[in-house]
Amino acid sequence: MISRKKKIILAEDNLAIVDALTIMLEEFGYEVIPIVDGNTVKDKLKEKPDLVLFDLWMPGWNGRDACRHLKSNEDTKDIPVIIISADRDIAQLAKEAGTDDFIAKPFQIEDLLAKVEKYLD
Amino acid sequence: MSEAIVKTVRVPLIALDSNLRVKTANRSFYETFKVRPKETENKLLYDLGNRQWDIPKLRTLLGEILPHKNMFEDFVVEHDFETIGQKIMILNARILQQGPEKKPLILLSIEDITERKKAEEERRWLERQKDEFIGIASHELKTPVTSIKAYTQILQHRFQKAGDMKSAEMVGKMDAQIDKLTSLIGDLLDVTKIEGGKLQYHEGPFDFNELIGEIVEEMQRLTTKHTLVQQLTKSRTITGDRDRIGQVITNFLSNAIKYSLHADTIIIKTKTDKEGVTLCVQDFGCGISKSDQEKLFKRFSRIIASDQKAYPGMGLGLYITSEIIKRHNGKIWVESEKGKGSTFCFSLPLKQ
Ligand SMILES: Nc1ncnc2c1ncn2[C@@H]1O[C@H](COP(=O)(O)OP(=O)(O)OP(=O)(O)O)[C@@H](O)[C@H]1O
Ligand SMILES: [Mg+2]
Repeated sequence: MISRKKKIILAEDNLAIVDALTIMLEEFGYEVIPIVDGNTVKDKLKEKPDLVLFDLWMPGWNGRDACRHLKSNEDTKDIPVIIISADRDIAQLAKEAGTDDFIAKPFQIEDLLAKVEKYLD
Repeated sequence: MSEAIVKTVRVPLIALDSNLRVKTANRSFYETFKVRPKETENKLLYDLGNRQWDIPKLRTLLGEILPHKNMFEDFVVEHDFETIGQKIMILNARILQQGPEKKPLILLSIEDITERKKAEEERRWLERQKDEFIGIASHELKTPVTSIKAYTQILQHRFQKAGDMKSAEMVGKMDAQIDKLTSLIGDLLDVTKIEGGKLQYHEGPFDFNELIGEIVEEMQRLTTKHTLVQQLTKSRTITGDRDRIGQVITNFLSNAIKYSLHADTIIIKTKTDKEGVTLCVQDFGCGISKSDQEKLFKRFSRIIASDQKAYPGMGLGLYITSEIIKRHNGKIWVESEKGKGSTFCFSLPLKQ
């Protein structure tokens, strides 16, 4: 059986983190669309990702508003959103932004993969 | 008599009659406001020095409040003087009845706090800068750590897949060191937040023993030398910040492991009663002398023993820990005997 690779949008402004995460996710069989500029997220959503993984704070990007936008739009409201942030109060921030889940930086690879899998199965 | 009072006081002080005519002023007044007695005495207050004392707020104080109450205290007035520039002053005044005719005499003290205010603002600004800097620095430190950790874990995964277990193990050790670095950064960030009163707590109900179990399991994985023995009484639901209380238990355990290198058992005990829960972590390590025990919970405090080289650390763990417990209205204490071991405990009330 041929199954389509699951597509993940990865929005994060730190290039090294984007690079490492892309390698990691690709190694585990996902297709990654990396975005380092918040303004292009909305464009990329047209590519119908299966999951969005993003940093809460990046230039040209208000994570909270973006998430609300995603979740209030008929076409995108079912796409799972996971935020990654170095903020200790990330749980609270995730709740406020209405995301499906969150991961604190720095993260354990198993934790990240487990969360991604959970929403893609 | 008024003359004597005015002259002995070190704050700028002037005495006025009921028409607000200056009777006398002290040296401090002349020095502070750069005026001479000749151009001051017997002049109306508002006429002094090109009418530079004709300040609306002062008019209100002297004209309305003073006659009414016979005094006013600690009024802050800001004014731009022609000769000496912008000044911030604290004004105090009292009416005295003088002599047999009970002639009213107004004593007005004008304390110049411009410098003090400036210094205070400067200090506050520096304090904010410092908080902000450490905050940003900690945040910035986490970013490269995140990518280093991610690359490290990819490598570990690849080595494992290729069957190169030796290399995988080495990279695993790197990963453990990265975790240490992360927790140090976290501590620094916490201290900054505590200092600025900005440490946030997210309270909710949680099962006490379940939390202990999770943390003990995690800590047991980090030590091969010690056996962590749990002696728990029946669990209770407590209300508080689960992550932060977990941080307290982790701190107790990591200290117990760190400061009992040559022992092999650590006991985690709980006790429950009507009021609340108590948790104690007992080790059989180096112990702490009575005099040192008082300092433990202070910021940056580290007990420098003769064998200090064996124990690295920033001295932040117990300070953060005690702040967290304080915020939960709990208590924290230690019982210890040098050379025999230590027992660190905290208790939390069931109802906050
Ligand atoms: N279980 C223990 N046995 C003996 N001494 C202890 C124990 N726990 C703490 N101490 C002493 O108290 C001091 C302060 O502890 P604290 O945890 O605050 O700092 P630290 O362990 O030195 O550094 P870190 O910030 O990394 O935790 C330690 O330096 C140590 O001397
Ligand atoms: Mg410690």
